[in-house]
Amino acid sequence: MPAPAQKFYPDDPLLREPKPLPVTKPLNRPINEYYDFFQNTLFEPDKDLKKHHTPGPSQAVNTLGEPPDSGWYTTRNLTVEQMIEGPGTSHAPATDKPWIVTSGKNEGITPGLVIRDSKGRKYFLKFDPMSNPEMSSATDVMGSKFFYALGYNVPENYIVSFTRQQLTLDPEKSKFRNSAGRERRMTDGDIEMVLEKVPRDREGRYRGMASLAVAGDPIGPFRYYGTRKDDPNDIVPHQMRRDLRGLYVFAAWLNHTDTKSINSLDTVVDEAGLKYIRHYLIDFGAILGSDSFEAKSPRAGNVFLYDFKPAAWQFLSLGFYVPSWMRAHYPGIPEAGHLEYQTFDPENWKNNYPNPAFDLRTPGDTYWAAKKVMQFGDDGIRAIVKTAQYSDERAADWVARCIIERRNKIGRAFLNDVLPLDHFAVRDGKLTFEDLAVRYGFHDARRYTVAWSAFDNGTGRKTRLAGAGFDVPPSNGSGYLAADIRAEDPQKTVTVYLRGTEVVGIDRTW
Amino acid sequence: MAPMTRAGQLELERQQKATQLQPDYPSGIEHALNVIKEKRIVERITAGIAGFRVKMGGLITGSGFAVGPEYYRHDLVQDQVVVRASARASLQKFYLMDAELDLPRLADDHIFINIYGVHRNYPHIDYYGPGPDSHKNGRTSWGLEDTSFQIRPGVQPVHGLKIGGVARYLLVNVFRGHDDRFASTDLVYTDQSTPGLRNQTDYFVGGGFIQYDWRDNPGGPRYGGNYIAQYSSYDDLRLARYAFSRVDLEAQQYIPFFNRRRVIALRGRVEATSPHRGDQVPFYLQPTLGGSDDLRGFRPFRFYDNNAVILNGEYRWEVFSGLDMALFVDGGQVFPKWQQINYRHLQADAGFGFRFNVRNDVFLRIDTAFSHEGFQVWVKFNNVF
Repeated sequence: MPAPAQKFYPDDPLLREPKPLPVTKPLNRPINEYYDFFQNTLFEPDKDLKKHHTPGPSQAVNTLGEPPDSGWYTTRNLTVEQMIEGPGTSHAPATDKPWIVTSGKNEGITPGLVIRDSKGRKYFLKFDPMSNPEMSSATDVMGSKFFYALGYNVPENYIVSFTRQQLTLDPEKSKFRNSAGRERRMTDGDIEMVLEKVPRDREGRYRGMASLAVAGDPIGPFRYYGTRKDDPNDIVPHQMRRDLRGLYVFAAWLNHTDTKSINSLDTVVDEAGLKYIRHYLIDFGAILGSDSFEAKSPRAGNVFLYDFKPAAWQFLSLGFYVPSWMRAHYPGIPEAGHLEYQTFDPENWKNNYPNPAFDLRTPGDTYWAAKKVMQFGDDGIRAIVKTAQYSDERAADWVARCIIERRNKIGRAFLNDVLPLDHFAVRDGKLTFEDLAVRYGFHDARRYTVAWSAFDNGTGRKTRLAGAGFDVPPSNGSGYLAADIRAEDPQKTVTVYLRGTEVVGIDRTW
Repeated sequence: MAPMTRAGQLELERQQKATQLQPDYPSGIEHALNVIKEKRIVERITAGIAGFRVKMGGLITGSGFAVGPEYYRHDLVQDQVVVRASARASLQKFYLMDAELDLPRLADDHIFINIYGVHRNYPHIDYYGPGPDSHKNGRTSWGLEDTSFQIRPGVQPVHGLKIGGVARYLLVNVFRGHDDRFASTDLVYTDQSTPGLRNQTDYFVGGGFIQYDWRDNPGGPRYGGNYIAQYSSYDDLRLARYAFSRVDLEAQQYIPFFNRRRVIALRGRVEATSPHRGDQVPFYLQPTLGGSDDLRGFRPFRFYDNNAVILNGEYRWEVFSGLDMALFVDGGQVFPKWQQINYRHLQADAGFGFRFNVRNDVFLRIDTAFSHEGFQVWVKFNNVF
């Protein structure tokens, strides 16, 4: 939300964006993945802002620094049970009748089928590679639950286990794209050809991941920069959105190295006759230790696919320069792929290729996101990992341990980039708060100083008030108070704005 | 009038944008790329239209740029059958016509059969004289025209292990070399020094092979090994002068370290022939060394003799995800008899290379190698081993 003339409006802090304007006939357009790769790798949007360290403040946030609920993001503070449920658990493919395979493909890296169950629901059925049974189906399910809990729109993903008899064809309509890319009428043999490449369990059942088609009419992915020209509600350049800048931290935590446009989807949803665009993150088969069709390369998360400086080092050193990630130890659990935490460096984590929103992140964004990550307790993480239904307990233990350890590294790295005071409230005439770095053990208990001012909401001028403690002074008639809080580092401040006893704004410096 | 609420401020901005809406068209370049994708233009070029496509390269080293039509289908009978036929010609008038029927996955991947026929006409191939001490200045050229039909059935009892047989009918004709820069081989060398130079015969080749391949990715291996042993008996069907047996042994080993971002790649290969009683091995079927795949610091076909041994070692390191580099050494020699192998005739070279890959499959390598005979630069669209 661009800065208006006055700092606070009566409805601040806005917790939910107003009802969207209706959209009419938005263009269903694809995003070309090669174009996206080369543009972001070689001609990065907003490269100058990044180069000069002037990314500008994040937008699409309320006066507390939180993204209000919108078509992009919803603040969710979930219980463990709700985390397990994620975007939904009641729409798993019905097994009372065979699933009708409407289309399939045997081309590309991973085979897959599109099915319709007896209730007419459409699912994308994806499979694990033979080399790593359960790996990508597990990450797809966990990813949907983690990112849902973090606040994003995601599809409902289900682990399914079935026999060949569960699949049947629509003889008139089923289509198949073979290994040469030719599309034709699908046959039973095509299903068998796809299933030949799928691992089976001891009972001969196939395990897959069924992703329920998301609500609404798909109109293509979103970009991580600019806005959609045909969406009246899309007014903040995406690279400036906190919920996309902060996504860097979530992607680093869960090693979602494939955070790119084509793993997103916009759909036009219809709510009580109002059509608007909702933005989804989709496809979590390449998070954690999985790269969908194989275990992740050890490079992933550490260097871009093409990264000039590291490449130059490798070229000039004849390979004798060995970065720490090359020495990372993986425990050799196929279901977990290549996942570890010891060499994980949150501040230098890399997506597969540059992402403009990630590149323009500020300490304010990473603090916001790290705070969300730290809200996941060990129990919640283990509960989500359990939904992956690993048959080998070692895999579940290792994945949960890595996610917990990576969470701790996230907190240690990003909470301390600012003065991490939060949960402000006025109680018994005192301003109270919590130091998150102290709470999570990333910093020793410390002393704070506070300077109170009367705040003129029209001019933004502050008039210093007497008093140096956390007792809330009278506002001197302005209606607003500002408390400037510092600890040992004078660069890192938090300014808390009160309207009466209500906390209406938080500003941070770093 | 300015809005009085935050929500109002937001709504005002939305309304302002609503007056300026336009279709969210991609840029011209992106649109073109999308058209290429939607129309499957790359696939049409690589996979062909109705199976027909353009095939480039694949002729003998030194033939120059070659191109021609190819019919290729690997999607028949649910990917069980591969059919391929091509005709290719190069700017230097080399040509090749071949056809192949491959059934690689019969009986649930336990049986395979490959049937292959080829006719080749190469107007000039280098020949420097026989043996390990042939001289660089002895370069001549000869022409080869041959036709062969081969069937290669086998079984795969367990994944990676293949055992099979080979039956082949081979017709060979050697003619005067058409390289204007060098004398024709028959003008410099004799049938005594170079068996088969004057008269060529037809062969029935029978044999068998065993292979165990546990490389992680044959297109660009980073760990594992590949071991092949093949025996072939070449029966002279017309002249009763050039019958021989041949044994080919090859071992490749890949030793990774630093999470497979570094690899020591080793290869040893032995090609040994044994003439049947009183016969000779014709020069056009002798093992050779020199070229992009073995002794890379020497010209192609630099050394001919009845036997050859080659050892290659490479240290490979990843520069970025699409490029590996390599430092390598090659050592090997040809020799007429096993008793005559010695260090004195060992030829060696060293060099460096760039290996470009897509998803770890090498599609282009540029190797530069140095030997006492100078240096060679190889640009090849395949992996060395």
